[in-house]
Amino acid sequence: MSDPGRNTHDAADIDRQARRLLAQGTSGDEPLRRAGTVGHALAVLAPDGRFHSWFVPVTVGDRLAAFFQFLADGTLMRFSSFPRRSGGFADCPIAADWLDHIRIRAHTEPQRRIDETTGEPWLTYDRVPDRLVWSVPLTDAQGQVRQVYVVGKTVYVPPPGDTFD
Amino acid sequence: MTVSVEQIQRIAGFELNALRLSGALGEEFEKVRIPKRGTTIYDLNGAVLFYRIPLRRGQIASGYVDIAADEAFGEPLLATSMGLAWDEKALLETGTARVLEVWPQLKYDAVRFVAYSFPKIALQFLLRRKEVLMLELFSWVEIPPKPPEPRKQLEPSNFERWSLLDELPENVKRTRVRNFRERLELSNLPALQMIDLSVIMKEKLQIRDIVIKLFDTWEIHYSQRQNDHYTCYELRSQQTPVWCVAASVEMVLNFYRYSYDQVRIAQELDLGTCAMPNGLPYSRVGDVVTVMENLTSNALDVTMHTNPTWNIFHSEISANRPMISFIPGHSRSVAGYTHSLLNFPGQVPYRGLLVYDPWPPPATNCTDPEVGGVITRWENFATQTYQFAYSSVLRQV
Repeated sequence: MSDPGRNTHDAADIDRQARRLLAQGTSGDEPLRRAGTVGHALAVLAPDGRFHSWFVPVTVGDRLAAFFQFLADGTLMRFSSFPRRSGGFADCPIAADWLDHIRIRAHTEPQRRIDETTGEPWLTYDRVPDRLVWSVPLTDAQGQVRQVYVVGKTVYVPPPGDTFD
Repeated sequence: MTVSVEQIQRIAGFELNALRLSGALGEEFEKVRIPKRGTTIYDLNGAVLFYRIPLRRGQIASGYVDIAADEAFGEPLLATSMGLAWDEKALLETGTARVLEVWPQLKYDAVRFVAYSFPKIALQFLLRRKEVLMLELFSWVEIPPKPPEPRKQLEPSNFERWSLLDELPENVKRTRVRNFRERLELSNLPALQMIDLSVIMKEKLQIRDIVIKLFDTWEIHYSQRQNDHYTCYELRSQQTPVWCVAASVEMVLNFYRYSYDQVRIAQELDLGTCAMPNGLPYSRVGDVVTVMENLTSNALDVTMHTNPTWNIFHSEISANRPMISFIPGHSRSVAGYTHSLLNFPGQVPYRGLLVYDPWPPPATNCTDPEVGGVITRWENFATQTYQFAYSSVLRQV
């Protein structure tokens, strides 16, 4: 999948911006500021493959506690956190389920048909950028490709576009 | 009434430091110095309209800030710009050289800067206090005399000279003067008198004993008493990858102490079962109203808003009523807002919503309602498309 909007300079700027927002308390609460580690920006591509935004994970130990989403020009789209109460990191998703390509590919195994091979996951969204997913291409023996969406441990086939899901 | 020259640097310092603190001004403004002297810009009617103050970082001129001299602006800070340096002396030299070149016979005894069509500026050449020529800055084109044809107030044609102060309606002026004075009081706080505001620094206004309200923020809680604020809204994740609407309805109903679970709500909305779930078709967006009213025996009066504006979210949340927000293909609930109180006149301030988003779902359908979903604090209102929203008012208790 092409990644035309991405370059390392932009990603580094976004990393710095995310670290600054967390450190200065603009985003996140005190427990997250103390325990959180801001990871590197990952490009979010629109379903058609064009660059859309940056996803910057914030992890606490092995958990994904929160994330930033920035538009290409650096505008903060949102800061979203998983804990339902301050400091409740134990219930957050396992970071590797969101960030580790090997693990993300492994989650698609139950959906993979016998003649299909699993391709490289790419970060995108299911219709709206709120619904971030990893899209994993599954290619059959005839070269036909279908995408399967993975979010955390949830795996599903992209739904039709005429419903609110 | 106009602001004294002595106050201008202080006002500029306060306004720019506050904007830097709020994040509205970026790193490029850090450690920029505001000099004492600026250029006086006159209104076409001869009154002092505003001051343009050059900004410097070290020895380098880097931008400028415009500070109102007349209360009719309503806000002391008019604009600031980085990148384009303001050099009064160079502009005067260029303008007078242009006169010498094109109008060598012209006699004048004074030159001043005039906002001939605010915010456009010109050089006005005067002889015994009467204008003899006016040249637009940078283009150095002559500004024609005022056209004789009458027209509506504040609707000048292109390249027409007009007076902002003369054309501003009286009622607008009165309101703006009140705003201006309230704003000015902030920068005159006794505690601020001890601080050197002539250098912009992010931490400059983060000082003890001074609280500057930069944002208006509200999160859903038990009462509308601000001092007793205790947030009382809970996240519910969608229990299948297609039940965002059921989860959003569940959050709002739970807030009103109706403890329906998501499976039941999905059933009412005809969204299938945990084993065979489906999303809510676009054609059935009205079902949310019907189902919420039915499940509360009409205790809740639910209204659907198409293309909801910021004001709808703001007024409902301020009244302590959570909302459901539909964006293309997805639904969430909204339980708070924030918006910046500091901004430039004419610009939209930062506005954000506190979104309880049921996405992502847990790993397997309907097995773990305490996992999944995210709380977004804040969703930038300017970056989202809001298709529908649902407000609910408690009619019977």
